[in-house]
Amino acid sequence: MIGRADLIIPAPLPPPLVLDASVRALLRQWPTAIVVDGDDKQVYKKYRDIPFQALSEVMVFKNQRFLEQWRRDGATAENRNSMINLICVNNELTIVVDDPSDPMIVALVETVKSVLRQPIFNIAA
Amino acid sequence: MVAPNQDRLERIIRDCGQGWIIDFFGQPKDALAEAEKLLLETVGAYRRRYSTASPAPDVDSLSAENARNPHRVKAFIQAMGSSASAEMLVMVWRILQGDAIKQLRIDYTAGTSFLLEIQLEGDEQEPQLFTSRNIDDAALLRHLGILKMGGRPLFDGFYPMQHSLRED
Repeated sequence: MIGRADLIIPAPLPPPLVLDASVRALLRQWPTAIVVDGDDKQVYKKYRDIPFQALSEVMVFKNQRFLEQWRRDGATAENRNSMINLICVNNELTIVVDDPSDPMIVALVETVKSVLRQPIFNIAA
Repeated sequence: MVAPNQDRLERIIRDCGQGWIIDFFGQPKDALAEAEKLLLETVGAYRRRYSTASPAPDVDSLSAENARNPHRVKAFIQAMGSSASAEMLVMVWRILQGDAIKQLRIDYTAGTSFLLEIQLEGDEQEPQLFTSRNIDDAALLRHLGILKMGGRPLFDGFYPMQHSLRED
């Protein structure tokens, strides 16, 4: 088994916008990532196909192989830090990761934070 | 009588809070006709660069996307309020569909010249270069996501302005 940590970022913005921008940022780090809805029913291989308006939670798998491994084996050591869970409710974005001290995860979380503190989201035009 | 596509386009524009595009310039029907013309030019410009495998920003696509990702359509419609360039609107649509901004160059001399070049990279074909010499298109830069990834600079995403005094 592997650990779990919830990192909470204030996100007083429309949830579809928060999830869209966050997923987009993760895709820049993991270009072949696969996005799955929170109920694990819909798999999105292309960013443009994701209907963020209908989602409050997504799981971002590093690639197809890790999606299959997670579904087959669950939270094993081999799958560590290969999936990030994003939940946007109550003006907060919760980023669920296995190991928040892993440098790759630190970089991913910092990127998402960088996305959400952009002027375009926080300064009225 | 308003054409069906114009009627749908008007609904999308107003849904996005950008009714000023229709109401600000004289007769609404004339503004709508202009908006539809620009959209048709944009679809044409899109098809000259991209295959039919990816959706062009026609009224059907905008309508479908408005149900799935209204923030993206709002950003696109806001862009239509800033730019009359079909090429620039293709560029905006591609960023909204996920393309990365590989390179951006701006060159400006007061009262003399303006040049904006944006190169996009997607998963479907070779990088595409979009160019404008119209300073109005500088307004589009305000919508770009600006972030750092591992301390490195990145323009990524095209987002709607969150508030506007003109929103209806």
